[in-house]
Amino acid sequence: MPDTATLSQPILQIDAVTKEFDGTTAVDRVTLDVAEGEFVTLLGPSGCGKSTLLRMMAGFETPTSGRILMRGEDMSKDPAYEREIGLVFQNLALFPHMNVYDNVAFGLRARKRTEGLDRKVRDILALVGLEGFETRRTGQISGGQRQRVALARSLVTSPDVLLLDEPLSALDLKLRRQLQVELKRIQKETGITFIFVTHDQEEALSMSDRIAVMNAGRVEQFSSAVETYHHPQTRFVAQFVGETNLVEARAVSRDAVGAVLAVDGIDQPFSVPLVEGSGIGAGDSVWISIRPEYMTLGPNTDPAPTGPTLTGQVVSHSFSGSTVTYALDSAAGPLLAQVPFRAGEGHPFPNGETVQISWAADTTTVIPG
Amino acid sequence: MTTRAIAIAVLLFLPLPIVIVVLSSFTSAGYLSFPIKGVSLRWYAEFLGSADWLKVLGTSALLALIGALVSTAASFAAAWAVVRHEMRFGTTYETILLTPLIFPHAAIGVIMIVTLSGLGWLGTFTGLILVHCILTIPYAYRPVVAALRKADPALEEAAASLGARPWRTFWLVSLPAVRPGLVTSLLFSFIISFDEVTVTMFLVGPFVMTLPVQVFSEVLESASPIIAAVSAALVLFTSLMVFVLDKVIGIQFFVERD
Repeated sequence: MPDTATLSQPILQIDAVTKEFDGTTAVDRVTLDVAEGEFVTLLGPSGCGKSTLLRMMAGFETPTSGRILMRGEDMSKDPAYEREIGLVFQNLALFPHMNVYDNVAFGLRARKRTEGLDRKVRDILALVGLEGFETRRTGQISGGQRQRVALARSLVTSPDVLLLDEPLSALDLKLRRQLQVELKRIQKETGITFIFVTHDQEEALSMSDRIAVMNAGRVEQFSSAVETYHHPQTRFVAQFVGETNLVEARAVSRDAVGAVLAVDGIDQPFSVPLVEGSGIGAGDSVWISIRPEYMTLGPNTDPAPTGPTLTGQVVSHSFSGSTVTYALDSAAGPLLAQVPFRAGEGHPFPNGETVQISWAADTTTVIPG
Repeated sequence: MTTRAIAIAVLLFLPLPIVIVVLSSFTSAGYLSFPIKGVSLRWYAEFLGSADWLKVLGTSALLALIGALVSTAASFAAAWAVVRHEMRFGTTYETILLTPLIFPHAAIGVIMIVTLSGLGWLGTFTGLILVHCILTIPYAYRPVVAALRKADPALEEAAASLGARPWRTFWLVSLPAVRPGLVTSLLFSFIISFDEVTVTMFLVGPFVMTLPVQVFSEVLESASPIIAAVSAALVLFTSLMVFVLDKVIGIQFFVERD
């Protein structure tokens, strides 16, 4: 998906968009290209500007500067009702005085596409699994069903892009998981481009083709879900998407694969791969990110394994089904290690025990300091 | 025990005059008295058979209807500006709208004599409409503004994102969302206008007269039981309106805070 995005003409282009409110910058020079049929997530903490960006795409806010293009045409100043963009609201905003059928039919009637209206409404209700609910009032159905009505209402007009503003955040975990899977299925079946806003990194990872991680009005990284998780490019992304160990390091020199790094508490400098154009040179201070699941623990008496190794003490451990997560204290700072756990094995390392901590050098991600 | 007795006494006393008026309207005697001498509907027949009384009834009904429509429309526009556009000095503006509630009605009457004579509308129907709008706007404004504050502005954005132009959104989404508030405003301002005496007294003349003011001047001149019949009819009508209000919206709508 990310590769095809650069090949064909993007359906939606955000071009250096900035939005200021009374002197504060909510969105700061954001540039994004979205390919047709793609599922893109804007991920970030509350107040990062993701909702403002979404409202500018929908046409409820006008950019202070920059452009928003749909199929190559600037629509930054078009009113919302002239854009072929659907929006599923966080609070859904179903029309309370209409039944399910009239809610769904609203867009077709407003756009004067009444030919075959009845069939279209019934088809889309079938797609979201709401046949037989046509005459129900929106107040008479469950939360999950209301979600589906909101989705059907926005999809029935076949918009070029569908924006979803944290539509699942009010639901309980189980229903949320179920609707995540269904949203993904519906997106595949309809082929409509989805732009999904959430602050839930797990939701973003499980659903998206690409994730734009936002912080303080800017996009910190825009890459595939796998890339975002395994190769975070900033400290913020590393910490916001999943759990990680961030350790300070110094670049000693460059070598064929990348850089040779020295870390406090690790005897031998080790070589790690670098992404192209990272611009890291000898003498630079950097951060390294190692996901807890790549950490290996062993008894302190073992011979040192290959790869970066240091010793530390177990501070605490927590059991979570298939894995145990150890909190460790080391010369490189506090670390987390998540190791596989099977019934009957018992906890090999009690609290207070000194252990050997290591990881494979090529699972290290280097982040400029 | 005594407080309870007092409370019951007050509750019984409040509707008592109404009960007496209604009962005395069924008298067969030629003068107002209680207890009544004999039972008859002759005063109702006289009321409904009198062209003069029917004319003032018509005037009052038309005045209340137009007043209610204008007040409600104006209140809606004002509430829209205050709530949706977060107008500067919005609360000051609201206070001004509500002043007729606390301003002495006799003073308003005098001021309106001066104002309407200046406009050349003293003793005209147009003048009465203007004054009744001023008097009913506080009653029309509150239910509308409360309904607008409760309505979700995201509904209008949802309609726009579905391709509805502003007018379509207004008619199909914004207005229906505040319908209960609008109905309340209409009924409430209708009742207020229909029953208004104090200010209207100052402004009626030989060419225009309202029902409650006519009742008042009849009381001064004679003690004909027809007044009791007219009053009973008014009581019945007002009770019906309140009943409808309660059924449609629920009377607690007035008691609730915004």
